[in-house]
Amino acid sequence: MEIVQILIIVFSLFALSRVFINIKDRNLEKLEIIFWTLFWLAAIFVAIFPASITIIAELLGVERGVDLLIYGVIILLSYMIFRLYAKLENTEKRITKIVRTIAIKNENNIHK
Amino acid sequence: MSEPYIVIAAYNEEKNIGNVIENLKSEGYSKIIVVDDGSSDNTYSIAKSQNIFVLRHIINRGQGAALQTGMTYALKHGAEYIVHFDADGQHDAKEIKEILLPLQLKRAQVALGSRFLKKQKIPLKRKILLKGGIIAVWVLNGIKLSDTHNGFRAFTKEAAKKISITSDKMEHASEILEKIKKHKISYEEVPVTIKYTEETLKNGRKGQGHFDSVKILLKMILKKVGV
Repeated sequence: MEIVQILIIVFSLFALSRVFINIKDRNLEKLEIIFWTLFWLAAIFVAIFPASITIIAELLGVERGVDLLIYGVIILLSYMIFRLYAKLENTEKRITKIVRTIAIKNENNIHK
Repeated sequence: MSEPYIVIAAYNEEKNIGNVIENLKSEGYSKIIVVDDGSSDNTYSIAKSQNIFVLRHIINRGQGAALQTGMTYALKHGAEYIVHFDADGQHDAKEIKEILLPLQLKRAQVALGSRFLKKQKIPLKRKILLKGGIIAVWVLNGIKLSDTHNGFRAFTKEAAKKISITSDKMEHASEILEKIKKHKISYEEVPVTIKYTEETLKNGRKGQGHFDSVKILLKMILKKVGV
């Protein structure tokens, strides 16, 4: 086993432990838990059996396993950035709402 | 006729806000709402000393957010007409009468100030930037105006209720036009003067430098494609 394989396995185990901590704290939704658990388990599997990814790649019409991996990761990252962007916009709007409510509540109203 | 509410969004305008308020008062307007958008200077205390409505954002949220706070407040107080007025002294308080005219005559529900309808000197750099904005709004929203990014506007209460600004930052100018189109609100352009001083040019109305224009355009496009 190459060092890189061990590193991937160790990191994936660490990431898995994070997922489980988040389950305990109820920060993640059910679907997210399933997704991330499967994701890191798959990473461990691929690290132990690198040939497996090549088989899948060939099935999908991609020449090399590594290429498939890179395509997949780029798509995943793009989607996550999009989600973050949408969430951030939403959070900004909510902050404005709070700030507005406070401003109107604490009006300095001399006309009254 | 009921007195209009003048909404001013102010962010670090201690140098100008006092004068702006005094000019408005000397024109006979008393329903003035200053929304201090989390300024770090004395904007708030100067406005507060002026016997007008002063609201304060505890943190800076941008001009669009501040204007909406002022509008929400004005509507709550039963405003019939709401005017957006700049805090930096670019606008002329004497022209409020003119911008309100189309609304009072029931010709339109929204009046938009246009600096290009009036013969005046506009710095070339600014002109190019503004023409770009006009084209962007035309292409993206299908509204052809002579000046799309003018902060001098007037709304009837019906229009103000429909146009609720959700863009915190400077895209609110385009958002207002978008909503005018969406709700089929009648509008009219009114010639107004914009005073360009060295300072207003340098500030570029805070957060609207040339780079920001690109950012605003990007946001407008993203919104169009539904992000």
